[in-house]
Amino acid sequence: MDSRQKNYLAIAGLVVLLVGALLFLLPFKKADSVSWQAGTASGSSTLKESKAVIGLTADGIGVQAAADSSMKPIALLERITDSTATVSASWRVSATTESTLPITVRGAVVKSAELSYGTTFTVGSSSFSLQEGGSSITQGLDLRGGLSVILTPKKAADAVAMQRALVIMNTRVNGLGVSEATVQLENDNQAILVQLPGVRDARGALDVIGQAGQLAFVEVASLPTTLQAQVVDGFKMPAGSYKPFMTGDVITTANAKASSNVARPGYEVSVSMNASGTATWAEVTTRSFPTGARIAILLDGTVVSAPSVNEAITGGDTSITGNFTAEEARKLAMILQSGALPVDLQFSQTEVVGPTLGQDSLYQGITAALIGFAIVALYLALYYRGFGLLSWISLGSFAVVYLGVLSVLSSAGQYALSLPGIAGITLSIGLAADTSILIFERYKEEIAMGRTPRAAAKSGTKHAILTSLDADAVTFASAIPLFIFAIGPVKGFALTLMIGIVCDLTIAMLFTRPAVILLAEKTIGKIPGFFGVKGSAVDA
Amino acid sequence: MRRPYIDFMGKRMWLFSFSGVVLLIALGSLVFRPLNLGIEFKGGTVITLTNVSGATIEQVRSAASAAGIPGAAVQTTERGFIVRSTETKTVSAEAQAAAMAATLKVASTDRQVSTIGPEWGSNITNASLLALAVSIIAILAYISIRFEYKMAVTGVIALLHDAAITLGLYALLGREVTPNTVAALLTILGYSLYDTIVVFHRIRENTQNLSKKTFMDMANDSLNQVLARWINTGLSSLIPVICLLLFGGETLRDFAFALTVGLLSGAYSSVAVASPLYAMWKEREPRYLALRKKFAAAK
Repeated sequence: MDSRQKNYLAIAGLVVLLVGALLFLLPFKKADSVSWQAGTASGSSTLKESKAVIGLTADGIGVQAAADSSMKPIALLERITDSTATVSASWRVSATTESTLPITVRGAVVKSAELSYGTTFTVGSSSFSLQEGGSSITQGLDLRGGLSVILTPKKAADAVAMQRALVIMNTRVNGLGVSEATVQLENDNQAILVQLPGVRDARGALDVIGQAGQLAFVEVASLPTTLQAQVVDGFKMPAGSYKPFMTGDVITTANAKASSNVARPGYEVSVSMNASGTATWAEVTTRSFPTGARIAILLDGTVVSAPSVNEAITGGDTSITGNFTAEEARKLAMILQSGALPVDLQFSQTEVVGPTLGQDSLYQGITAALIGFAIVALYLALYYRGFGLLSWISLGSFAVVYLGVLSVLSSAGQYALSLPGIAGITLSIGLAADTSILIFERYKEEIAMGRTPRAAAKSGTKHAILTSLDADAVTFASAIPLFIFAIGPVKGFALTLMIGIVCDLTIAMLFTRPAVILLAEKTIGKIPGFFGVKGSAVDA
Repeated sequence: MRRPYIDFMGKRMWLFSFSGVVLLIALGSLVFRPLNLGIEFKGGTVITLTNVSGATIEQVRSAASAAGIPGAAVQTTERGFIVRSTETKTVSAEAQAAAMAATLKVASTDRQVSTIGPEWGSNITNASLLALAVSIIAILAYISIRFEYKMAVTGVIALLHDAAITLGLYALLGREVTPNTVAALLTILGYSLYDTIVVFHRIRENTQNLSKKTFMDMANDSLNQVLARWINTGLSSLIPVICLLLFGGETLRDFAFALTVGLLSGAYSSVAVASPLYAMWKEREPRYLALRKKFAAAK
C-alpha cells in the first residue's frame, strides 16, 4: 500500500470538500428586501452575520458597510421619495466576525437594532427584514447591467491631481446612491474607471459624473439690476457677468437632512466650511442679512440655488433651507460637496448595459460552457472508459475548487465574473481535460512499452504532469502580460484563465496522479480492458 | 500495429508549402482588405437592442436616423439589432439610444450602449501591442530556460504563424476586431504552444542517447508517439470553444471565433511548422550532422 498517495488523495478530498462547503455555506451575497415608512430613528446596531448596516436616509434606504469603524458608505439601495415603499436589492458584505458599528445615516435618526439574517425588526416606525439569496460569485457589470465609464484627462495629469480627481469622483458617485459603485484609477494613473452596477438613470448619472464642477458663490446684489431678477434655479448666467466672492473649495462637508425646524418641515442642506471660507462667509452674511439679500450658488455658471440670507453666520456652519424635497436637498448637498475637479476630464469609454441583456448573455455563456463540459466528459468516457470515469471525478473536483476560489476572491472584492471571464472558464475546462488526457496517454504508453501497471503509474503520471506543467506555464506566461497591461474586461479573462491553470495543476497533482497510482495497485491489473491497457504485462 | 505511422518530416516541404500558401492568403487579405477595427480602436458608439418586437431592419434604420445618429450601420442579430455609429460624445450617444429605444419600444433593461472617445482607441491599441510584445518575450524566456533557445524560436515562429492566419481570416471575412479578439489572440499565443510543448517534451526525452537514427527520424517518431494525445487534447480544447461559438451569444462569439481558428491553427502548426523547423535546425549541429552522414552512407 502506498500511504503517501493516500495522503495526497485525502488532502485532495479535504480541499474539495472544504471549498465545496465554502461555496454553499458562505452567506456572501444577500438579497434583502427592506420595507420602511418615512420615519426617524437613531443609535447603533450590532450585526452578527454581516457588517452591513441598513438605515434610513433623508431620501431613501441606505446601506453602509465597513470593515472598520470608518463607515465609508458603500451604497444607497434605492432612492425612494414615496412615504412608503418596498425595495429589493442585493449587495456584498464580508462575513467574518461579529461587530458593532455605529449607524451613520444622513439626515435620519436611527434607533439601535440587532440584525441577523432571516429576522425582521423594527426601528422607530421602520421595519427591516434580511433574507438570504443570490449566488456567491460576483457578476461584473456586463452581466448585471449598469453603467461603466472610463474618464481620462484631456492633457496628461500628474498622479497627485488624478488622486484628487478620484476622491471628488468618489464623492459624486456616492451621492448617486448606487450600491456597489466603484471608482478606481487605471492605466498608470491616467484613467478613472467608474462602475455603477444596476443604475437605472444612466443619463442622469452621466450628467453628474461629467460635470466640470466649478462652484462659485455670488452676491446677487452685486449683479446688474436687469440680471438680478433672472437669478432663479437653472438659469445659465452669461459668461463674465458675475464675480464670485468665494469658490467651492472652501466647503468641507455638505449634507441633506430632514429639517429640524418644526415651522419649516421638509429637507435642508447643512454646510460646513474651512477657516478662510468661514471668514468670508461671515463677512458676506453679516453684510447681507439686514436686507435679506440673496446669494447665488453657481455650478459651471448655472444657478443651482439662490437662498436669501436670514442671519449673519459667523461659525461657518450653514443651513440652506427652502422647501426642498429629499431628492433636491440631496442633489444640492452633492453639488456643494463635490467641488472642482483639478483636471479636465473627458469620457473615453462608456458602456450602458441593460440588466436583462446582461443576464441573457450570462445564461447563454453558461449554457455553452456546460454543453462543452458535457461533451468533453462524454468523449473522455467513451475513449478512455475506466480512466474516462476517473477524469469525471478529476473534472468535477476541478470545477468545485475553481468555482470555490472564484467565490472566495469575489467575497474579498477581488473578482467579478464578466463575459470574457466566461470565455476564460471555458478555455480552462479544455485545459483541465488536456491534463487528464496527457496523464492517461502517458500511462498507457508506458504499459505498452512493457512496464507493469504499478511501475507505469508512478513514472507515467510524473512525466505527464511535468509535460502539462510546462505547457500550462506557457499559457500562464502569456496571460500575465494580458492581466497587467490590458485595459477593461479583458483583464478578467486573463485572471480567470490563470486561476483555472493553477486549479488544474493542483487537482492533477493532488488527485489524478495519486488516484491512478492507487488504481494501478489492484484494480487496473484485474480489468485491464476497461482501462484500455489490454494485452499488456500484468502484475504477477 | 494499431497505430498508423505518418511520415510528417518526410512530407515537411508539403506542410511548409501549405502553411506558406495559407499565410500568403492571410497576409494578402491583411494588405488588400484592412482589418475591420471595432469602435474600441477608433472611437464611436455601439448600441445593442434586444427583445425588439417585430421591427424590421428598415424600421431600425429609420429610428436611428430619426434619433439623429450619424452614419448608422445596422446589423441584425438573432435576438435584436446592433447599431454602430461614429458618435463619440457619451451623453448624446445615450440620448440617441434612448430615443431609438423609445421609437422601437425597447425597454431600457434590454439595451446596451458603448461609447468610445476618439483618443482612447490608441490607448487600447498600445496596451494590446505592449501585452503582445511582453507575452512573446515571456514565452521565449520560459522555453529557453526550461528547454533550449532553438525550441523557443521555432515555437514562436509557429505562434506568429497562428496569429497571422487568425488575423488574416478576420480580414478576409471582414469580421470586426474588438479588444476581445485581441485578448483571444494573445491567449492563442500561449495556448497554441500547448501541443508544441508536448511534442518538444517528447523530442527532448528521445534525444538522450540518440545514436540509432537521425535526428529527423527520431523527431518523426516523437510526433507519432504523441499523436493520440495531440488529437485528444486538441479536441477537448476545441469542443468547449466551439460550443461557445455556437451557443454563447453575440459577445462571446467574438472570443470563440478567434479561439477556434487559433486552436486549429495552433494544433496544426505544432506538428507542421514548429517540429520540422526545429528538427531541421538541430540537424545542422555537428553531432546530428554526423549521424545523418552515417545513415545516409548506410542507405
